[in-house]
Formats: sequence, C-alpha cells, structure tokens
Amino acid sequence: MLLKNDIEARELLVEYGNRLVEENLVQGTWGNLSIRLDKDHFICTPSGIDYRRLTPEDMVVVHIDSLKSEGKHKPTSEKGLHAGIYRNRTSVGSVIHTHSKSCCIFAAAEMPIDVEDDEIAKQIGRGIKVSKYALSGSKKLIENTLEALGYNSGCIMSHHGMIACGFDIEDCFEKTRLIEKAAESYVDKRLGNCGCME
Amino acid sequence: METKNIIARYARMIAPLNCLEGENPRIFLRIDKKCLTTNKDCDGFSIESKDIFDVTEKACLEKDVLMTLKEDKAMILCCTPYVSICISSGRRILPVIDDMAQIVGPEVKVVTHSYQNITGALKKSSAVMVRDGNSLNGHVLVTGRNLYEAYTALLVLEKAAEVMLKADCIGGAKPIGKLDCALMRRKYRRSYSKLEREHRDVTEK
Repeated sequence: MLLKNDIEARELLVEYGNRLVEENLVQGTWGNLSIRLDKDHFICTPSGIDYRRLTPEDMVVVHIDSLKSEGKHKPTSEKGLHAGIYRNRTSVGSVIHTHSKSCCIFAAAEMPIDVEDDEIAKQIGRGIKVSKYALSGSKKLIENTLEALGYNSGCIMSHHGMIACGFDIEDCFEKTRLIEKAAESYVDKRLGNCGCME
Repeated sequence: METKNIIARYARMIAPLNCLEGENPRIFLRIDKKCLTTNKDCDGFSIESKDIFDVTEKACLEKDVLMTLKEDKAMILCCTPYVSICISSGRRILPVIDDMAQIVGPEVKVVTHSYQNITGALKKSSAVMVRDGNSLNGHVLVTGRNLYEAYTALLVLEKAAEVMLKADCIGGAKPIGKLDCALMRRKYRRSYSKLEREHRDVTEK
C-alpha cells in the first residue's frame, strides 16, 4: 500500500484503531499503532485517548532517531519501541502493539507460541518468540523486544502483550489478528484437559 | 443531579459484566462526608438517577470502608466470571500482567466478610475478593479515585483473573516481581492519564 501523504496515514490509523477495537484486540486506550512516513519519521496514535474518539488530527509525528514529536498530544509511551523497530528493519511500514487476551496468556506464562495451524503458520511463521521481561517504557523493554522480534512477524512481550510488524498497516493488522488467533487456538485446545477452570 | 447521572451511567456499564447470583452490582461514591449508592434492588441495566440515594447514615459495611479510604472515593461491588472462579477456589489474583500491577496492585486476596479483613486488604491494592461466610460464593470490591478508575480496575482485574487461570494449561503464569510492581503502581497512582482527567467525575477535587 503506497501512502499518498501524511493525511492518508492519519486516516488509516483511525480506521485500524477502530478495527482493533471491533476485533477485541484492544480495549479502551491500551495498545498503539504506527505507520512509517519516510526514512526518518513515523506517525502514531497518541497516549491515553480511546480509539473510538480518535480523529486524524490527534495523531502524532515522531522522528525515528531523536524521538522528537509534533502534534497536539503526547505520542504513545511506546514510541521508543516503534522507533527501534523502524530503525532496525527498513522494510517495516507499520507496527501494532496490543494487550490482546490470548497473547497476554502467553505473556503471563513467559511462553512462546507454537503456531499449530498450517495456514496461519504460512503467514506468520511456526514460532512466535517471547521477550524477556522489562518495565513498560524502559530501554531494556525495547532491547528485549527487538531481540525476540528479530526479523519475524511479531513477538510476545512478557507480562505485557504482543507486538507485530508488517510492510503496511493492512499487513500488520492481519499479522496481529493471526498471532492472537494462533494463541487462542493453542490455549483452547488445552483448556478442556487441564482442569484449571474448576 | 449531575453526580447521580454519572453514577447511573457507570451502573449501566457494569450491569452486563456482573454474574452475581441473586445480587445486583452496586456503586458507592463518596462526596466530602457523604456517600451515595445505587439501590440494591436495581439490576443496573435500567438504573436512573432516582435509583441513587444517600447511605451516609445507614448501616452499610461497604460505605464504612469507603469512608475510611485515604484517596479512593469510588467503589464498585460486583462479580465477574473469572473473578468468581478465584473466589470460589480461594485463589489470589496475582500480578501476571503489568496492567494489573499498575492499576489494581500487587495482588488481590480472598477474605471473609468483615470490616477489618476488607480494609486490611485494601491497604495495598484497589480490590479485594470477599466471601460470604462459609459459602464459596462472594463478590469483589474495587476502588478508585473516581468512577472511571474503579471501572478500569474492574476490567483489568477480570482480565488478569482470566489470563492467570487459563495460563495454567500452558505451564502457569508467573507473577511480576514485587519491586517492579511497586514501581509501576507508584507511577500510575502519581500521574493521571489525560483520559482519566476527561472522565473524572464532578466530585473529584
């Protein structure tokens, strides 16, 4: 997907933010999305505003190296993580971070996801790694996440959630959705046997 | 009237989450030295401002607890599905996701229904699971500096309970360390998000 300009990116962030809510991948203000604008900048969702209330004008432009931002709001508190991915991987055009429920189960257990469905594995790979734990917003979190992510579609962030990246936001959203689906499917198959819900 | 409308709005938001058997969810809101609450005979789905009344002078343990809290002025009494499993099994909800550590606290215990037990548990966390006597049933009390914060804590707690329980089938959830929990909790309690300020009800000073 080739973006015509900054305005199109803003509108896409609004659209996909609402889609994340509709698919129950985010709740309220949690999670964040971004789109690369050029080699030095990306545009992202602001901190602390409900997705259903976001407008294109609310989005924030961030410089990848300096992390300086332009906009009427503060950028997402995970801007450093988004910037780190854009810096490390020049082919990435979009990043989505969620606290989706099934991925959080793996995040809480500090476990990677074995993707059992062949069709899903074709699109996101056989294994989704898990990063070592670090405090939210810290440099260590960025380092650990980048290490677990590598050149893969996404990774689980211990005790936090998940992050996915794609060549554009449509691709990134689909990977986010599939990673959650792989996690959900893995857990559902084992729930009946473990007796943990009694 | 504005305050009562806000309470009614939150009661309607909470109603679909509730799975208490034979009991309706309730909201308590402290305003200076008074306490408003929702009528316990109202199920919350159709609650209106006329169903909210002053309980300051009435015998009510939850009101007594709320009036002694230092910062928190809002309390929700409810029971959500995965929290109810923890109550019936006597299982603490641990900080297995950092949302819980920040917004609710380091752990949420199951206690029996008494003023001392409940106030003791609420010293370190914004929630406590309360069992009714010898029964396996109970409810959760969730507090916040305003109704938005209490409501958010309720959602996060239910999510943490679900995540913790389901993680048992993949090896078990590991709690976040106490120091990290304390750091995250302090950061959250010291700073309001913009959204929280927007949702802050009129009673907050």
